[in-house]
Amino acid sequence: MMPRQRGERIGDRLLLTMLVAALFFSLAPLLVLAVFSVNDFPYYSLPLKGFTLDWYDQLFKDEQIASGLTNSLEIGILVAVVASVLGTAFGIGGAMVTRRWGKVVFAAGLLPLVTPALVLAIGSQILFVESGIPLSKLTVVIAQATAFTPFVVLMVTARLGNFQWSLLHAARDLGAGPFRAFQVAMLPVIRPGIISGFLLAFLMSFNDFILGFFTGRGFFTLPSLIYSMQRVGISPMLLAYATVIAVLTLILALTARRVLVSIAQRRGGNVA
Amino acid sequence: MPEAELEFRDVSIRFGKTIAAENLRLEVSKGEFIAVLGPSGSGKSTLLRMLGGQMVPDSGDIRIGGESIVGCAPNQIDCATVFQDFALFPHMNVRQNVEFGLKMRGWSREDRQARAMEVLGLVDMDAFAERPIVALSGGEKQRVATARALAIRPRVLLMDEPLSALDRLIRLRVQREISNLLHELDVTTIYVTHDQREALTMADRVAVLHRGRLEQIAPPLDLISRPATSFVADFLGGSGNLFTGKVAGQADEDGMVPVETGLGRILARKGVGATANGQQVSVLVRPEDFSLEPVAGDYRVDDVAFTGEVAEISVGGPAGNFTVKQLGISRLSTGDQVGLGVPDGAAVLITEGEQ
Repeated sequence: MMPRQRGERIGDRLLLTMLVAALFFSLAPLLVLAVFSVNDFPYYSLPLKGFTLDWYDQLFKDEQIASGLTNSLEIGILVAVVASVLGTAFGIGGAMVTRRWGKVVFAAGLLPLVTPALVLAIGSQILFVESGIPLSKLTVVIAQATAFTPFVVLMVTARLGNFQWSLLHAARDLGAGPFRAFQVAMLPVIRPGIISGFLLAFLMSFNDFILGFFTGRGFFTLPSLIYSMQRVGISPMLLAYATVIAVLTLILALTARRVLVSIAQRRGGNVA
Repeated sequence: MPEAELEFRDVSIRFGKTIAAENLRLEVSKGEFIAVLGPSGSGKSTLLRMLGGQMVPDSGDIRIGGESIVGCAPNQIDCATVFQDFALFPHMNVRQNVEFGLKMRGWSREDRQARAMEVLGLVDMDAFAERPIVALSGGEKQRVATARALAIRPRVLLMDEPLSALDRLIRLRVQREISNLLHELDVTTIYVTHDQREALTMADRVAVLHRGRLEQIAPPLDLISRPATSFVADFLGGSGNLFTGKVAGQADEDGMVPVETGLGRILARKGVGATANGQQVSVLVRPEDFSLEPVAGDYRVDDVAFTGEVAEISVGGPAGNFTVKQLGISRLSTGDQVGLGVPDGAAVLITEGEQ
């Protein structure tokens, strides 16, 4: 190996320092949460008083939290299903569009991606209220599905970028009906996109505060519950909740990647 | 005469202002191998898409085995297509690809497997049955695609430039293999290509399309020796060697007609149409049929290009510019003066050329 230059060594060290700093700043808040969530004292303050799992115990026994969790899961799953179905259809349609005006319409459909959530939330609320639709879980599902469908669309169109359209013709040519042709020729290609879109839509719904706050009435989702609870001071129970969610999200993200890779390998494709 | 296996009856289709087919009339008998030849935009692919049920003609009728297929869904038409990009399902292995059409027809697993192995054997791919598609070379994919189409025993096999994705050397070999196999199996085939060599070497008859019109359909030799239109003459290697002349007498018993041209009085072969004395005609001399006299003549050599097997010599003189081909290496060089002659019977008359 060539002897390394002094300048190169300094460069390497600089890069390493930046990496460590980046990791520290992104993980520090989570670490702080985790540390105080096991601190045996009802307020977060230093020095640490001792180790306890009481806050976790409280968290899992809390009925409000349990009902918030149920609501969030219900809404999240519904939103993920609706967004996946709509997003897949829209994504395929978008990939088939060749005319210029068609592309414009398609791009317009992706606007919720760049619209501030607050604007979408207020707009949705006005729309529902003015058209006489009572705010409920259903309106939250509609608002969130509208906002998060474009993410599925992006995932699906990314898979269709170099799709061999002749595969569909071939399937039809060999005797398959339209649905079977889709199932055989296109679904295996876009499936990883649909799955990542589904997970993404679920996570975004699960973490959403703004849309749920503006378009739902008469119930709490987890984020809106936390919001209302912290107004009277941040209890270590909330820190325990945050820690659990962070860990669960991490696990979900890691397994999603794994699931996608294994699907792709089984299908002889790639995850790119 | 037995009923045609495949028939186009005055089929027309247009997209906006583009005419992709105009009063197309074509009859193909069972087991015939027809190559459809034409430049891009000539309507070749449209013809295949109409046969495959992906497009519906504006007017006219398409019949397979006497029954109209116009308006039928692709999966109801008894055709199978070999696609230009092969369109093999990437998540299935070779055998599963070949079995797919049979599965759609409700064959049992055992029957499917047996038939798949049989057709894979025909194309020498039975040893590759369990391979994934990504592990195949272009030539191998081509064979699998052919096997997949043949597996369902279609009444008509459609091939859409099936060799254009292959290297030249492999292409030459596969051309022969496909042609032999399909003739052996007596499969009615429509083979679309823009490669005249492919069309001429493989097909029983070649249909030349130009702007949606059928210019001529004829066996390869006839197409070369008696092109019906100046487009056909030019497209099939005429290299622009068309000039005008005036018929100067009756055809003799060998079908030779005297014609007055800028290259003097020549004896030309009768073309597809009839000729009358005094008629203005187009005359084609294929580049390989000119005779070049290496003596000081009226024609100047403008360029000599050696292409590997033949020398392509461009000459210009009183009657215009021509391309001449000579086998092997030419001793001529740019600037030489040569004599240009047309041996008896080397020229052919084209009576219904484009205006």
